[in-house]
Amino acid sequence: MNRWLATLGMLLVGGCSWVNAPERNLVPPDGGVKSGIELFCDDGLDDDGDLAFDCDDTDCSQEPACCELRRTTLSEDWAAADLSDGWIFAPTAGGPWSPLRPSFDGTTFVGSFLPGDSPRALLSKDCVSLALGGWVESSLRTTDSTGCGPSDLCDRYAGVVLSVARDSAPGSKLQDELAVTLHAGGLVLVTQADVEVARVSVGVGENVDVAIELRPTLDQLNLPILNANVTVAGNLILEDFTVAMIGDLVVSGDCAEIPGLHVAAQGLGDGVYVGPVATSKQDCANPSQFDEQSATLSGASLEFTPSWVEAYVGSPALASSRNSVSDVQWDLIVEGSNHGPELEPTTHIGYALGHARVATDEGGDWRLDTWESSESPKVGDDPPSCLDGSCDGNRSVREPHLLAELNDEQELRDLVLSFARELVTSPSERDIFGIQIVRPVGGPTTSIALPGTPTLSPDEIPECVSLRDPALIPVDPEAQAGYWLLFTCVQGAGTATEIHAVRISRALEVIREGNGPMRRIVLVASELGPFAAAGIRSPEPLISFEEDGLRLRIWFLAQSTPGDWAVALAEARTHDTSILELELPEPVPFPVNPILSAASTLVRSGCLDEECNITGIAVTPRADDPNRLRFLLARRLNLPGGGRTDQLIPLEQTWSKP
Amino acid sequence: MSRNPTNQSWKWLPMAAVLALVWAGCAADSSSGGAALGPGEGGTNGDAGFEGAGGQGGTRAPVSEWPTGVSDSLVDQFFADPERNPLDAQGPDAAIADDYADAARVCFATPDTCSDVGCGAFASCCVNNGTCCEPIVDDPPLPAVLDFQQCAGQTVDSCAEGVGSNAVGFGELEPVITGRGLVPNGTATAEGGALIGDLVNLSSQRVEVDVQFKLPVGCNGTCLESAGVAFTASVPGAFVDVGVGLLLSGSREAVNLMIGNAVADSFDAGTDNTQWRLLLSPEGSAQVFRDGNSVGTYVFDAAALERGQFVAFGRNLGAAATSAAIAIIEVQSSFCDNPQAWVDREQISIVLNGNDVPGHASGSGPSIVEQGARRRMAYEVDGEIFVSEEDAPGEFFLTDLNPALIPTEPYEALGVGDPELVWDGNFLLLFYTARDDAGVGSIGVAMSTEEPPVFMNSDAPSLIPTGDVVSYDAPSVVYRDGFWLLVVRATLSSGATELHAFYTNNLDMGWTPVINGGLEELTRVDDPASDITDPSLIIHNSAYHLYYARRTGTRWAVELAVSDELLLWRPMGEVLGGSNEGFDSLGVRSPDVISQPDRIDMVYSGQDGVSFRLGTASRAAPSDTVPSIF
Repeated sequence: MNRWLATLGMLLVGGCSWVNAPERNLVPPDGGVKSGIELFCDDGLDDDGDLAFDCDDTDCSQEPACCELRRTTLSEDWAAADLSDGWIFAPTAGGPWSPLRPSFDGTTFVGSFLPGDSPRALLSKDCVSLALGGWVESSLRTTDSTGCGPSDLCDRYAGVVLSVARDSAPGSKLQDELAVTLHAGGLVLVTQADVEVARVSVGVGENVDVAIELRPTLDQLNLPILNANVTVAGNLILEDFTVAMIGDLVVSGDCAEIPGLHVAAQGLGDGVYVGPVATSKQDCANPSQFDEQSATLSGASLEFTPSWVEAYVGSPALASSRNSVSDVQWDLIVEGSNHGPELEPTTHIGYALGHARVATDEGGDWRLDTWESSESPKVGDDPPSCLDGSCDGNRSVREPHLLAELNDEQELRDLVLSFARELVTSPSERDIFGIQIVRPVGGPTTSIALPGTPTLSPDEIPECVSLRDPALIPVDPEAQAGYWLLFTCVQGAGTATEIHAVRISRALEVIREGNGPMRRIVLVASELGPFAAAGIRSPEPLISFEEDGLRLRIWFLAQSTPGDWAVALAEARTHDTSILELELPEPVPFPVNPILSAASTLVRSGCLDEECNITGIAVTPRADDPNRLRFLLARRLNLPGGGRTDQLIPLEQTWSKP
Repeated sequence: MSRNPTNQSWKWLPMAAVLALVWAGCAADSSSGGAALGPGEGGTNGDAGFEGAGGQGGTRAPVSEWPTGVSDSLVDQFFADPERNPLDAQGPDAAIADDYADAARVCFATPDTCSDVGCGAFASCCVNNGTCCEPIVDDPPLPAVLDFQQCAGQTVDSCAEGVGSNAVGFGELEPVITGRGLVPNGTATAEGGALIGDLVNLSSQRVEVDVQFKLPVGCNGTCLESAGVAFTASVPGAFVDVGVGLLLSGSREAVNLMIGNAVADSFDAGTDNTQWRLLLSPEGSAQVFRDGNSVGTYVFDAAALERGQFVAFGRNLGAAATSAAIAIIEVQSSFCDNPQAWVDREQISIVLNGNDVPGHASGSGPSIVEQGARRRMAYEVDGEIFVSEEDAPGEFFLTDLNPALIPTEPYEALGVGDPELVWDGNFLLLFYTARDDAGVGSIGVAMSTEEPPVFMNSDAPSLIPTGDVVSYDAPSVVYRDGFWLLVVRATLSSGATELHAFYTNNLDMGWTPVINGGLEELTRVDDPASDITDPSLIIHNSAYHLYYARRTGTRWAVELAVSDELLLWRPMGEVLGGSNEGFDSLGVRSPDVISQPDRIDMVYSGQDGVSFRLGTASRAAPSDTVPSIF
């Protein structure tokens, strides 16, 4: 797993939620190649044996290591009458200065950074986003080499700088994360921290094109970094040079959503000039970007009876289908309790499941007040919890997952509900769960009686004392051969660190292999990286079957430190769909997990003291647009006066089918 | 010289090994130009001196010849604590030397291995290790004993006052103290309990909490009865935001270890007589003991509890005679050497006649020294060195605008910088980098007998680059009992840089390199995207602490390596980085530290992306807690 982490180039931005996101187009697979997929797009290998390496393989075309789609973020031709609208004249502490703007070959340049007692710079007020990858392009030109040799440093120079700084000190250059500087005699230096990292000599009196290509990747410690290739006059003079830790980039202003840097034209003295400057960012994959939707839900808005949800609603499961009149039908199942989960360390808390349903117009959003829901829990007791010993016989049901099985018209054939059910018989032996899978599910008012035995018991999985957080993956488009059942394997009193999968038949029976269930270990926290160091749970899979392959995406919750839950993503791709009945393709964790943290604006927005916890995530494709995914993020908020409440926040994200 | 040479333990045996390595250095070729002071097959000493150029060093002798050539009195001085020198006890032996080196490698292998039995032989292992902490006996932040059963009927604050501490109850209902102990008296919707004692910095203090719970009676697996002790970083509202603690769950008949509000592990609650201990160490380790037996060690975020409040808390549906309760709490606090626990970071001001001196707060390469009751700080501005004096923490003053040292000699043509002030008990000495007109750095030394200090340049440097070294800069010097140690940055002909160590017992005789150690490898940099420089060497708690600055990209941070004898190093990684706000928001470089009783003070240059400005910080660090090796 570490190899995946170490070799995949990706982006950062754990913790940011980016609204108004561009479409995330999935990878167009290689035609006719059934043996696999180019899993690593910057490892120098042909992973799928199709004779196309890394970015030459179309499998990789949308990955950050290879993406060539650009969106302009800054374009400056130096023609504006007043440059101070967009540029800081640094150093601001020095006296006023104004550069010359000569025209060479019809192009306006900026230069003559005078007086020459200090380096001077036009520093962009706006930060340009680069963390997902991007490009910076400009031209440099020296017109007077007097006193300066072609390989010499000179006291007259000009160039392009990428910086986190908003100013410079008089007499000093800008702090340069990366700078490409043309000296008067024709020497081009690439520097970082004013230390030379590459050089080349160019001619005097000619335009010298400079291109900086920036791509995110991971360093040896699996931390996201921004690497650069620098091309001068068409020659690549610096390759895969680390510009900065992505965590060190600017995250304010225009870079609040996608971190970046300020760009500057900097120089000293006259005779050396900087031409037009243009920057652009990659416009490809970004699973961290979400479109916020209206109608945040709560137990009250869903009109569940307070007796079983008054203290807590969370762990949502969501399914989308078309109903008989071609409206979009949304089925939502949540866990709830009349006591808050904060009491868990103190005493046993009981939970029940409730079902709500709503129909919306095609392309529409759901409303707050039109949900049909059951008064009493769909599964479980009402109230599910009591602290006075009056409901000793109640047993918890928790963590639902819904799999919508649709026909070609996206109409519902079946809903399959899986959930964790408490198995203990003695009040002093609480919190031992097995997995129950139920089909059919029925409508919101249809209650489900618990079968006598669970579908999967921890007795069948020796290393797990309890099984939690189930989720189903169909092994074929119709699920005729059954499912893989994902679940969290709880091995002790602390947080789970492994997600396993067991094969389930269409008849909802465990498929055996040898002496036990046919089982695979899917995700292991210790192999995922620091973001999952303290545990993982709540897998939420989506699988896309296409003629030429499949893509399995698994969102899950991960915590770097206890209590700091965030949403993470792992993906598996293969051209060979036939293996799914026997094996799950190994999911590759997205290199810049988590994709959504509790520190993000989206999660913190509206939170008292900016403290909110992520308690669950649900994902489903929209029945009216399977390329568009709807998420339901559950968060728990502090209330003034010390109470807590829960919200279910709808989000959307656009993907294309493979 | 040793404390008990006739009663040595096995721990002494391997220590002799290092002497073999030391001896190799003592007899080594002094390529630096300093005099070869070592014994054995040393070559002809040069004419190095306080005012002279370095001479030719001795010829390096093989390690196997060590026993016959070593001078005990000299080798003794390589140990940060000469009294921890095994030579007195064991005599030189190459096999023992190998054992010592192997033991060090094992103990220094990972951040955790220094806690292993046997590693206490290395003073270096006391850094960032909970085994070398100093008990807090004067005005401890938490009461040593709170026997709630003895306080039955009292309020929680009066009970605490009775043992010289303080406590404040919280919750919808006041906690009560019965014959069973403290009943927190929380409810289903809000916890109750009491804040006890003063704030504790768990990132630098080791806290041992012993607690005895009273299990609720008649719970039958369903009651809301709990009682616990914890440290929290925030004032409790309806809930205690537990950073780390123990919580008795009556219904589960279990004691939970809580970390970050989540159950990290759970243990059978036992009986009313079961003794629980929570041992919290500043490196972020939480160890739980049940009746004296360790039942698990866990990781918690000690840095988040720099202002930790001790709290007794829980829930009860009624303060009945059957409630869960805390019978007795015993606490022992001690402070430890956590090299990342810097406090009081602030920008330094430098004034003349009460007015800020323009540009001086942005001086570079600061160095501080204690000269009797005075604390002085030297720094460089525009190729000249100034010496200021401390008026108050972070506030320095000049008596005039005259530099303490200006370049006057040809080897100083491009200026002087990187000052290092040293007080040898009689004189104030200034070591510095001097650069000639080609930019080649050498190390100069000057002495002052004036007040305010004015230093006279020597006509030749004390250390000049030779052989593969093309430049030296950034000196750091330790002086002890007539013995001098020097660490500098060396730039090699390949362009790589590394830190080199030298020693002498006579500045007039030049410097001899300490070789065959791990310092060069530890600090070597040959990548333009990074840099290591500005070493600062001190002896603290019987170990060498070598702070230095590392640049990664544009960001500077201070790292630390520790050693018992300058040869085998235990890298501690980054210990001080950007603060995310203010003058040192992006980074820190140019550290200079001084050892104080139970504290380490530092001056440095803070980086904010626009400029570097002088700053200061300090941290608690016990100075006399190294375990005896006898």
